[in-house]
Amino acid sequence: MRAAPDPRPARRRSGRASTVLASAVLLALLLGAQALRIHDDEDRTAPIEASGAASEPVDARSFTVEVVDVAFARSVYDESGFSFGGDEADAGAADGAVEANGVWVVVTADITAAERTLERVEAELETGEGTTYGSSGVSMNALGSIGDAFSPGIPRRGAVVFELPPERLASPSVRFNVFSGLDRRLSGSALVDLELSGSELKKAVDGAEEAVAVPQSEIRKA
Amino acid sequence: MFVRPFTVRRRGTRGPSSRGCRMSPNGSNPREAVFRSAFNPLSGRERARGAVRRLLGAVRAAPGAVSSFGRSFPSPPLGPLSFPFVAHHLPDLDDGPDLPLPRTVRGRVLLAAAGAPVIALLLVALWLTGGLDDAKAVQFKTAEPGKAVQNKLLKATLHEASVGADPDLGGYRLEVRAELESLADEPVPASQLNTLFKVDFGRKDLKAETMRVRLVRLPDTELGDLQPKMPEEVVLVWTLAEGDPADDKIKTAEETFGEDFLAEPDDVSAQLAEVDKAEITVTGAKFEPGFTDPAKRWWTDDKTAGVYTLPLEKG
Repeated sequence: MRAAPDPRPARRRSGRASTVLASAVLLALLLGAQALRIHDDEDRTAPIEASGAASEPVDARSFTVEVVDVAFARSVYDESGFSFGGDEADAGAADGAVEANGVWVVVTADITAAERTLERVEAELETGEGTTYGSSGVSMNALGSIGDAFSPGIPRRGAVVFELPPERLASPSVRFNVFSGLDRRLSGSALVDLELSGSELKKAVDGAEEAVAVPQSEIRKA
Repeated sequence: MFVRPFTVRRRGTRGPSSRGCRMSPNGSNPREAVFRSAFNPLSGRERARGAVRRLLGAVRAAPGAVSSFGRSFPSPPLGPLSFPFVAHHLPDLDDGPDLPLPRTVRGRVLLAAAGAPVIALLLVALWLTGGLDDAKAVQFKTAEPGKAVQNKLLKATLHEASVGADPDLGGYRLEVRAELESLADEPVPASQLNTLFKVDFGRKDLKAETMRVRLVRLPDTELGDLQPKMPEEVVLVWTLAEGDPADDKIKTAEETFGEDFLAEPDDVSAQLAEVDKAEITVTGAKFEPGFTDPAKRWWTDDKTAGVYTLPLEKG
């Protein structure tokens, strides 16, 4: 028996074309989905970052941060927390001022926890030209020292201190990572652009104060 | 060591070919020609002379070849030439290119005369670059005190060393004044520098334990993070302990974290009295995740970046 000729070769051809097209689309989707995967184990649980500018509060989901002041200094010292002694005590502290191996950048900010009490702050300064500096441990008063608790809804004002070569500064921004305990996985993080660059930044660095006191952190009225 | 499976590639063998006998255009086997030339009692020069003579004969014999060169060339040469061009100098295409050694004695002598100085020069160059010694010997890099040594993470310059009693922790300590500059783009915790420095006193009953990094400009402060591209003058401080020369076993958890862990620091004054220098090796660095922790950090790569031999100041 003779095999009947294919009645609709054109349709079969179009069917094959659509199969090829569908496969190509599926393949593209597959590649797209792969690209969305986070391949680095560390990045998968890294703090979740929000970004904003210094002129406004930045909401990092678990806390908000608002930069209130940026100061440049040749040396820093811890402001005494004791009220008695007054100026004399501060003068004594200024004797222990630490000179910068470059320049000090003192960033004062208000941090408000959203839902849970947080107690640790880690701050980094991104210079804007590829390097990142960690906050200095020289100041005992800096935010995140032992005893600083960020209760939900109550802002706490304090400073973080960075020491770096001034020529590295291009358009600095500060990353605040506020968390509790030892575990910073999936915690909130805020990258705040200090909105300083070019001539404005140069003027600020050149006009760095001789000595700046790092205040103890304090609770502010909500 | 990586061992490659050993294979033999047959190229240019003189033995019987498995590819069958291909016949040359004029009916003889090219291989036969090889044998024939191999057993030809005439020397290369004589053979060459014979070929020239035959060629001249053919040219003379060809009509018209003498009067007008270039117009009519003898083709095909008959008579005296029907035999001699057979296969004496046909290249042996079957076996791939052989080493193109000159066929004549003069050529070979010339080649040897030209090649010998080249080989001699190469030998001198080899001798000047250290010869065929074990390459590892070159890896053993000695660093002068005050000269910088660099790995992927930092530039380190070690200056001088001293040993003595440790007023902070009790026991004895080794102190080395150094300059460190991080080449990384991010701050590196000082604790991650620990594995990059190895101390050797040349005796098994004295060893250096964990390293701390103290700032020179703030003598009471330990370095927290080494910040990028900021040279820092520091003192590297090692607590010294007694090494057990006989015991190379790895400690059990009880031995490591038991009460011994909190015991008094070792008194190593007797060992210290006998040593007068320390070898401090700066190793290479790599940025990798740990064994149990996926977070990346700096580790030693166990390669030597530089070895300082520092005389010990006692005090």
